[in-house]
Amino acid sequence: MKMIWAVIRPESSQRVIDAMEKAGMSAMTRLPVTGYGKELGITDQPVHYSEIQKEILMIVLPDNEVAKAVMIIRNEARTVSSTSTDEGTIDEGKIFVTYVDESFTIRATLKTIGAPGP
Amino acid sequence: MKQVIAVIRDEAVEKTKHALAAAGIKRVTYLHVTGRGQQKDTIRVPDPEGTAQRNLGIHPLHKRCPVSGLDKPEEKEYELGFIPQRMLMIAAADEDIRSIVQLLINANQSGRQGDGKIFICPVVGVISVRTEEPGNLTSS
Repeated sequence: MKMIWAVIRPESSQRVIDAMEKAGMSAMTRLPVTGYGKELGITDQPVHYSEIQKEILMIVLPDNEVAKAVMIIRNEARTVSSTSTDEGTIDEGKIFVTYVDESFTIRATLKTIGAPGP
Repeated sequence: MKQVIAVIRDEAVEKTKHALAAAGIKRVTYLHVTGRGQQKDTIRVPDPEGTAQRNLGIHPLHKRCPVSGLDKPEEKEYELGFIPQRMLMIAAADEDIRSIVQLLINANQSGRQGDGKIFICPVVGVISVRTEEPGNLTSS
């Protein structure tokens, strides 16, 4: 089981959510956050914005679905179409995948090792 | 050392706080998040204005509705999107994890859909900001 932390633009999050739902992976948690990447924010002379609004989608999936989910997030969170050869722009986001040892559904008290959901 | 990441109901937070405090667990981070589960959550609410009927061009005052199935226009079903929830992050020693999970389940279980999820994630290290010392969480 893996946990995906996808830091994406807030305006592309609905696109990602819709695509994930279509693929049958609708369970997720959204966190509004701010942050910056290696560009240290945006400078629109003379103003410098050091913190950019972002949204984190936290998704826990069994190992065999992680690659598919990462692909969907990557395709939908880009500002250019997935078939384009254009490299896209900075600020489109990052996807982190971390380990989850165990997961529990509070309602069922059942241990659901290996599979999220009841 | 492990981290417990739990997503629970907003209204169960106070109960959870008291339960954690009573068990002597003081290091907790709370986040405001929105979330949804794998199931399509729906809610049924009264429809006194008769919106469903108005959409079909039927006046709500006409009690006896000519369209079958709309004889009882009192309720309307809405699909719930992302609902406000609280995320808890607790880092703890391996031997404490079981009791924390059990405590969270006891405090939050209502048996209804949407009670929440608990995830256990491995933690590689912890560093105290004040002392700059890399340390190890000890059993409480």
